[in-house]
Amino acid sequence: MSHWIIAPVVLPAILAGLMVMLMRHDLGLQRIFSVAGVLALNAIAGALLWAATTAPPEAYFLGNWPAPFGIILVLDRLSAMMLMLLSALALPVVLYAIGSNWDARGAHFHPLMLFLLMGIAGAFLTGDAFNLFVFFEVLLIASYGLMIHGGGQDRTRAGIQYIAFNLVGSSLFLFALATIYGITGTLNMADLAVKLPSLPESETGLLRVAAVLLILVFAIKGALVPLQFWLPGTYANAPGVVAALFAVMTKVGAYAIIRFGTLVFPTSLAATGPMLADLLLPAALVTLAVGSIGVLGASTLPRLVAFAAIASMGTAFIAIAAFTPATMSAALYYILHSTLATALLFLIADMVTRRRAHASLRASDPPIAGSGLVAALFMAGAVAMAGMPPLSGFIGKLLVLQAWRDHATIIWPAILISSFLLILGFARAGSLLFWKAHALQEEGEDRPPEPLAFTAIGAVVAGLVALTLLAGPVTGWMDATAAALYDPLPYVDATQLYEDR
Amino acid sequence: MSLALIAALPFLGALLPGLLIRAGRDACAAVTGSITALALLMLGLHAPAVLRGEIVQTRIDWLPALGLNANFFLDGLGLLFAGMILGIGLLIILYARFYLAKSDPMGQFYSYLMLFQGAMVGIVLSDNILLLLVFWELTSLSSFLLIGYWKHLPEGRQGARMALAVTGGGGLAMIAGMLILGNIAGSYDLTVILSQKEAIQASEWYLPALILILLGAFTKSAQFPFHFWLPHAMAAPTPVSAYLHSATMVKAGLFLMARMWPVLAGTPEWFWIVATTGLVTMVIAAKIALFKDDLKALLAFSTVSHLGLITMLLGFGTKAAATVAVFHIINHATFKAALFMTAGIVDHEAHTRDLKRLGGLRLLMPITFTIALLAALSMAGIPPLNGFLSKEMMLEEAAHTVWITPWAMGVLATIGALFSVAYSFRFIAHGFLGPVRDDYPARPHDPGFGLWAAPALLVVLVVVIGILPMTAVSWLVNVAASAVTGTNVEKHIYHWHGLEPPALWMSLAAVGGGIMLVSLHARLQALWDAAPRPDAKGIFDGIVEPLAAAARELTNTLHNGSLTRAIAIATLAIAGAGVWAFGGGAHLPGSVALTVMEPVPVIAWAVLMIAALAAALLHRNRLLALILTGIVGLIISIGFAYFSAPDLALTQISVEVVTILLMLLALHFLPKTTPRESSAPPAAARCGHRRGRRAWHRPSRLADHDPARRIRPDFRLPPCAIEAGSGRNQCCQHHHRRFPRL
Repeated sequence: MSHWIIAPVVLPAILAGLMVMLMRHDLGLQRIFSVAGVLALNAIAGALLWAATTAPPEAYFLGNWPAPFGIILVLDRLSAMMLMLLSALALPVVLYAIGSNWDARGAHFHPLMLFLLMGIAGAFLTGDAFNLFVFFEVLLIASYGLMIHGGGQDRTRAGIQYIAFNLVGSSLFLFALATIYGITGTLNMADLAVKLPSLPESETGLLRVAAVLLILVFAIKGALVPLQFWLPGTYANAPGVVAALFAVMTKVGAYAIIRFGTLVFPTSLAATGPMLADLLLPAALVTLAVGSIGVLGASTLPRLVAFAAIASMGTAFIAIAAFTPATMSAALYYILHSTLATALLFLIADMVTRRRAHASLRASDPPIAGSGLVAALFMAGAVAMAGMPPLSGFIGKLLVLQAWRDHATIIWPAILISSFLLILGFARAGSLLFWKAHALQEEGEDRPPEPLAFTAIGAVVAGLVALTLLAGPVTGWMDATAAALYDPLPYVDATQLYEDR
Repeated sequence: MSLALIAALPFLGALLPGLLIRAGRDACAAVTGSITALALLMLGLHAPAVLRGEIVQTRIDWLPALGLNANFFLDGLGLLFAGMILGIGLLIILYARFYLAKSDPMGQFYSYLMLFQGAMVGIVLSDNILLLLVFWELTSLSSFLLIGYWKHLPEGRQGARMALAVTGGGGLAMIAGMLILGNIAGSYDLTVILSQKEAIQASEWYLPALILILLGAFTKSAQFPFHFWLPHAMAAPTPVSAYLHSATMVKAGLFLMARMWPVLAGTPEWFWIVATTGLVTMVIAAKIALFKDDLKALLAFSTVSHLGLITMLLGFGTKAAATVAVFHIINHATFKAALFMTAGIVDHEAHTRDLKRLGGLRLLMPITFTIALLAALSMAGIPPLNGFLSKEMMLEEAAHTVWITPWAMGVLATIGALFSVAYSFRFIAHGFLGPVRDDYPARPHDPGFGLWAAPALLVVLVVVIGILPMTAVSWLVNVAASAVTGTNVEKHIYHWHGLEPPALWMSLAAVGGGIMLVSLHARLQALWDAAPRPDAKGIFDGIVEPLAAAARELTNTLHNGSLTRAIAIATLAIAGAGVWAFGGGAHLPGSVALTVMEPVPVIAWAVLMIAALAAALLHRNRLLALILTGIVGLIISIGFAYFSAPDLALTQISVEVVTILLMLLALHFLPKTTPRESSAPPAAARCGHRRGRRAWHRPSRLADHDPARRIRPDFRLPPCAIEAGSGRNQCCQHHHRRFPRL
């Protein structure tokens, strides 16, 4: 049993604790440890990714308690991939926070970020539904703190709404878990995968309710319409750097839906059947529409990006909702792309907003400092998000379209028309922010250069470029991952649940 | 590898001008030019093989699982287009060096130009339709940057956005069309698709694929009714217009139709859609061009008209017509680029492009006049220039094509040609002939060699092709037309077809009618100005602006920031989904024994529920709320004990006690009751958004300024709006003081 599996959970937790206790007044030291911690997390995630690629899934038994009594973590290709995504995103985020001085605008940025990383990493790794709830709470508590980092009235108000909405989600999560436990007597995911097919028919009604409630909890995280109302306010009012990190939080919802939709409630399960797909697909289409209309109609830049995030979740859920290996592969690629693109745009929006001193998309200001470079980066982000070539958004879109080719009459127009709205929205915003500014015969105010912040943004762009150029190998890897999701036996075997039987 | 390198060179080169501008404008232009020249040279190395009829291929795997690969191939059509793109690109680079003012950021210009050039070369060399789509959308994006190059001009910004919306939107339709095509053919490789004519035309998906692909081609090539973006793209600097609208961007659509000609053409659908669109575009745009006073607008509409002409020829679906189309593509590129450049020179020297303010330039700018004259005569189709040759052949084809009636096509084509003669003559007559005036905005004179070298070279081509077509271009036309039609084409180009063919008489009618129209121009213009006609920009804005406004309205209404409503919707959705799910499965008693209801637990349960509900209802009284919360916690602890979990019960009790104690201490610092929060969504929505909202301006604006004096006594401001208002607000500050910060 490799202890490395728990390292992504333990490392940030220990570091965060140390920071709070030993270096709370020394931001410099916090920054060093934070960057070092994230670098180490990247190394660990890389090693785990390698392990998951070359070996079958592996379980980690906390306290050496056997499943289903103890809590287990399971490392498989999907969790390793999400972990890698998380670590890879955390690095530019922490660099940007330092480079833009965001972390100095309030207390405890770095510990809170590390706690958030811990919660998300745990959610990706856990093999137990109740433990998943616990990690959800961990990441939420940390995110409450991050969300209102830096303070201010709007942000605090949005923060309270965020907390309230997520408390609803958490309660719902408990209802769902209690129902499932009441029916099956277990919350271990592998155990559920084995037990549910032989559940007596008399319980199917309750099981279906529990499954739907569970999926809706994850849909809240993933901002699926009509549960998306929390997202625009939260993401638009959160500090830009935090919003960028939150880009991966919506993917926790997507991850959980993929995990439960393939392992616990696969389409082959008689009780639920295609229920999840029936629920997700219409909602995903509406999500895409709401998001892209929002991009066209957004009144501030951060809100525009928030709606773009909703739209990209819509596309991701469209791909997921088919629940077939081919579409799942497309969905996984799209999730990688969407996370990076959303984070990129939030960082750029923050860069622009800080330099203009306001976020409105109505008023035009003199050109901001470093206008040319920021404009180029914005263009890259917009191109990626709108799914235009040459960045990964286009490939992701093609993959999703191709995956749904048998139902082209509804899905294709939805995706293509929403792309059109995104193009319109981004073109309007970009033209106002970076072109119309030059119509005013004024000079914008100068600002000190922020090399580290720009490096961080550049790193995310580089990630998108890499995802594009390496699309061949990456999708090959995704195909294998999607296939593994539809062959749950190795996952169940890893938990050693049924070794004796 | 080398084909991929030709396509990649301009992209790599795009980085250099931005950096080298520090070394000076000449260095910047020279480097940009050399990269283009290098790409042209590499293309030239492949030319002998292509002319022998071979096909050069380069294959690089990119995303084989999807069928998206970096496969390139070079055949006659690709050679023609790539040569045109790079060759005219080279001239444009030279021209732009002398055209752009010192204040224009030249590095940026050349970078965008190279991006665009790379995208165009990519389109014409792609052997994979998905790769072609990548380059296709890249031309939309890079032309967006080029058209909006003069950022400070509103026309530039709007023109750029309009071009992006139309061509980018068309590109999206084309994505769907190409995916369908690839799925029918079983491959996205052009060379495979081109060999599957029967399978594709027999498929039930043929028509959708055709329409979607044509949407892409028509929007790009500014065909009616998508032609309106092109004139607005004229806000770009003239070198951009000359490049985009003579040899490249708008020709991409034609290229695509030519490329797909072997598989898509030849059906009645193709004929009716493509030939009709081309014909209508040709006639309408030629008519509009006659009444444009702006030199560039006149040329823009004439471009649209000529694109329509070529589209129509491709639409005929015959090999002869396709060959003429290829020939006219070459001719149009030469004379139209030259004309745009002369328009730019006039603008540059006289500071106006308005035909009403020009005239007499032939004496002031003899060199420019000579260039313009030859190019315009070619555009009008006057022998022996190259425009004459292809126009004559076009009229011949049109005369033999049956469209609705046997003669309709011939008549309309002649009318199109007639207008074409008219606007070409007008370009010369009103711009260069007539008396010299003394009220030009600037005294015009011929520019330096750098500015007229490029158009002069093009005009030399116009003349040489016109006089010696067989030596100059027939080899290129034949090899390109062979590639388009998929058969061996050996076209002979004659100047004189004898008195027999109708084309001669149609030409004569066109020239005669054209001259008549120009002489009557003043009167016709008055009629034209008086006649109502649709304003394309108005219609476009009339669609996009309300769309954006509706999107804004919808978004703000949906996401107004009301937590109450959001949670209500979520609750309803969750309940609905739960009921729906429950209805889909059986729920029978049996497998798990039910817990027996005993009185004590029931009472405890009831107390729990009542306490929870009461806490929700009475939460404004903080002490009471705390007591009720304590009751809830206590009953939960008892519940744990009752269900045989004493450890949990003890833990819960300790947590409860500590929590209640802490909160009691906190109560000491807080007022006894919480303020009434508003459930009105708008108030919450307005909070913090002082800018940019219309509907609910009043409360927040009033709160911003001094509410105490302005608000009517009967108007109650939502507390949230007051809080959001600002610190300047008196009652607001008062409000705050009551709450110490926690």
